[in-house]
This record gives sequence, C-alpha cells and structure tokens, in this order.
Amino acid sequence: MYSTRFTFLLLLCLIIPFSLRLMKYEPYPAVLLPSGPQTVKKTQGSIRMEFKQVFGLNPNNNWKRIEPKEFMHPAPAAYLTNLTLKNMGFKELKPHLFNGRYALVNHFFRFHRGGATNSNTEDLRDWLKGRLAKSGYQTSKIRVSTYVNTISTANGEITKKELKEEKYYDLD
Amino acid sequence: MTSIDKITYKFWSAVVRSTATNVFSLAIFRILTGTFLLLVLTINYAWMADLPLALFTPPVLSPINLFATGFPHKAWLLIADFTLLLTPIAIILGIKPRMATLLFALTRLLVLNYQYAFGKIDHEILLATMLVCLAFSGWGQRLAIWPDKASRFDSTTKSLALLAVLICFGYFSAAFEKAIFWLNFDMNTTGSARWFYNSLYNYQREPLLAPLLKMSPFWVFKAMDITGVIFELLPFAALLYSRKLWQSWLLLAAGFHLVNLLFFNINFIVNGIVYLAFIDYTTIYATVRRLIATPWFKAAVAGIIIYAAYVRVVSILTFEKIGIVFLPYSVNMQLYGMVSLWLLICTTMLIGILYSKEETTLSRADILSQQIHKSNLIDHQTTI
Repeated sequence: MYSTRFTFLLLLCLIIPFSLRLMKYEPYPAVLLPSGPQTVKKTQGSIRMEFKQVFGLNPNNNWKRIEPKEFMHPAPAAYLTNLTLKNMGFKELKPHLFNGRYALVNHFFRFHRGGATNSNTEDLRDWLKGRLAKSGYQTSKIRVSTYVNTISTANGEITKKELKEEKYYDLD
Repeated sequence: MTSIDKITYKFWSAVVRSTATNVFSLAIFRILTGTFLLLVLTINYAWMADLPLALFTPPVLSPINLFATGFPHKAWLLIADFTLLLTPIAIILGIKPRMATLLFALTRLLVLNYQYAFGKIDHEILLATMLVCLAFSGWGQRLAIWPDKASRFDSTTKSLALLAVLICFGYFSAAFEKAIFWLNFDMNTTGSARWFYNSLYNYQREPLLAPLLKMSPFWVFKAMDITGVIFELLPFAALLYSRKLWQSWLLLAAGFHLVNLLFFNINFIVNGIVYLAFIDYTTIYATVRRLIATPWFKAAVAGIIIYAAYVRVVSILTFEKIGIVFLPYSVNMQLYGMVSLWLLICTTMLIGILYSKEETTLSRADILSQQIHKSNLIDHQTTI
C-alpha cells in the first residue's frame, strides 16, 4: 500500500492549495470543490441581496436587460456575471504588489493589475460591440447597474429594487 | 515499523477495504466513462480564440498564468476539441486506453485553465482526478481492441483508494468555510438562501422546483445549511468505516447533486460518473463480454459512435452547443435529460449497494486479478 512518505506528500499537495484558497489565492489545478460560505440575513420578513445587471440600448433607444445566454454564446452564460465583476474587461491600473520589487510577483499579476494597451482596449470594445449587435442592441454603449433587491421570505418575490450604482461604458 | 507507519497502514487498509474492486469491473466502468465523455460532456472550447486579450485574467497560481501570453490560437483549440472528441472513442473501444485517458484529462485541464481566465474557477476537478487515478488502475487491460500492457505503476486498489481520499478531501474543502459560517443557531442567517436567490435572480437559472422553495418557510434554508455541511464533512468517516457506508455516502452525494439541480439548477453531472467508479460491475462482466462479441451489438456501437462523432464535429466547427447527444438542444429537454441521468446514476448506485458484499469483494478481486496476468494489480502489500 502507500508508504508514509507518499501519504505525507499527498497531504501537503492537498493542504497547500486549500490554505492558499483560504487566503483568496485559489490555485488551479487543485482538488478543491466549491465553497461559497457567504450568508444572507433575514430582517422583518425579507432579505437584501445585491445583483449586477447588464443593459443594452434597443433600436428604440430604450435600455433593456441583456439576456445572458444569447449575449455570451458560445461562452457559458454565467460568465456574464464575472464580466460585470471585472468591470466588463476594462481594467483599472492597480499598483504593483511590493512596489514591483519582485519580478516573479510582477509576472504572476501581469494580467490582473490592468494597464491594458490601446489595442487591447480596442479589441475589447469590438468584441462587446459584436455581442451587442448579434443580440439586436445598439453598439454605442453598454450599462451595468448594481441593484440591492429586497426579497420577501414569505413568497421569494422581489418586493423592492434599489439602484445602488450605474456604470456606462462608451464603446465608440 | 514506527507508530506513524502503523497508522498510515491502518488508514490505507481501511480505505482499500471500502473501495477495492478488480480490473473486470473497471473495464466495464471504462466503457461507461468513455460513453459519458462522448455523449454527455460535449462542451467545446474553440470559441475562446475570439476573446480579446483584455479578458484574459487566469488564476494567478495556474500553469497558463505562468507561461501563456493570452488565449491560444484557434487551431490549437480546435486540436484540443478534436482530442476531447477522439479520446473518449478510444476509451470506449479500448484503443490504448491509458494514453487516451491521460490525454483527455490533460487536455481538459489545460482548456479549462484557459476558460477560467474569464475569472471563475468552476471546480470540475473530480473528473480529471478520477481519469488520472484510473489510468493506472489496469482498466484498459480488458474488453479492449488494443489493450494496455501491464505497467509497474498499475494498481487497481491503489488507484481507487487514492481517488476515494481525493474525493473526501474535495468535500472537506467545500465544507470547511461553510461549517464556520453556516453551523450556528441563528435561524435568521442562512447560506442556502443566498445560493438559491443568486441562482434564481442573478444567473436566471430558473430551477425546476424553484416555486416550491420560494414558498417554503425560511427555516427550510437553515435546515439545508446544516444537512449540507454535515453531508460534506462525512465522507472520510464513511470511507474509513465500511464499504457499505462509503457507497451509501456516494449515493447520498448523487442525491445531493440531484437536489442541487432541482432546487438551484446547479449541475455537477461530471461528478456523477466519478461516483460510479466505486460500484462493482463484475457480475455483468461475462454478459457484457458475450454481448460485445455479437455482430449486431458491434454494428449498434459503431452506429452510435459515428452519429455522436458527426454531431460533435458539426458542433466544434459551428460553435453550436449540443448538450446531451440524442436530445434536442432546448433548455427544458437538456434539464430533464440531466435529471434523468442523475436518477439513473442514483438507481445504479442503489443496485450496487444492494448487491455489494462487504467481506468477499476483496478476496474475489484478488482471485480474479491473478487469473489475468502475472503482475498482481491488487498489490496492497507493496509500497511506492
């Protein structure tokens, strides 16, 4: 059977990625299953949750919620949410970790800290415009709205929708 | 032998007692796996070639973040898609199954690494884990057109034991943080409700039984929190206790996924095939061997493979999704198809448990294994 040395190494191979995930640096590939420990709190018969929604301008100049499946196809529809969390791909320039002293750290974060070149941003705009056109929207703008929804715990319906933040992205 | 060695030996012996089977059973399971990969796991990846570089944010600690400069060229992704189509066929037919299995696992790990550059890791790791483990189980030595040669790395018991431990750890990793935040007596906070409403209103997944859960009292979510976390913390105990309990936990896991699909529309069908690895198929081996020798069965298999390959090639080239082959690609049909698959997995596991024999499986596995070839695949006495 497996030796003690192998068992110890196996334990290390499992514990290290697990610990890294606890520190918000989940490695891949690693034997980890989804956690998602966040909770919601019920107060006075309802819960409040924040959602981001993406809107496009239809030909009549009205903002309409974009249908994720159609917009993202053939990418998984759920990735639209990740796109909104990533500022629709428009990265903001973040400072280097450790003031950029360590080349390896800089290398690891080179795609994450922003500072995309003009051509990268142009490609992103073209990509978003292509998606909007395919879904029948105008291609000049896209909007991401953050709502705080109040959901009744009696019937699960949204009883109140408050606009928290609205971001417009000019694509032209 | 030191005390740590003794503990290690006892641990692995208990794991082997709960998981051991033989190459006959695994040969059947290999065919099942290949069929699943060909007909159910029909996702393609060439679409990523069109993504702009601005969206390329791979997990910081991942191989492609270290080496890649952006999404790969379409030609590479097409090669990956065709590899993910051809290797399952090789796995079903038994054409160098070990190489095909490893090639599938590595290709999928790589393309998923690129897909996760979108910013989300989807945690479908158990499938690749299972394939890598079973590539060294000897599952390609029977019912194969071009069987694998016995290798010194092959071990039926070791590969299944390792897979079981990895599954248990995976569930522990899922439960750990939830246990901290979910296991309490505060009836007004819950994690399940967050998952449910996020699925319903954010991802717009429209779960089949969502109306039922929407109308349920709030404590139902709290009960789900507690049972979910306890279920995820249990597998190590079940694995070390007995084969029956381990298989029962696997059945529970399949049921858990079915509940997740019905209430949250979160589908982890890739895990379903992993759980089936621990069912003993030896009793149907002789029947399957007779069956695959008949001309009509060969013709039927060839027909299914040719049709599935055709559908998937079209899908790869046109980027059109197909879901489960043989089912129309509509949301409802695919959803009901997935529910049926989970029910089938649960039923298979239940039958497996009912026919599982606690004491005799190991000895029978030893006897059968020795009949196949000189290198004993059931080598729980050897060490690496």
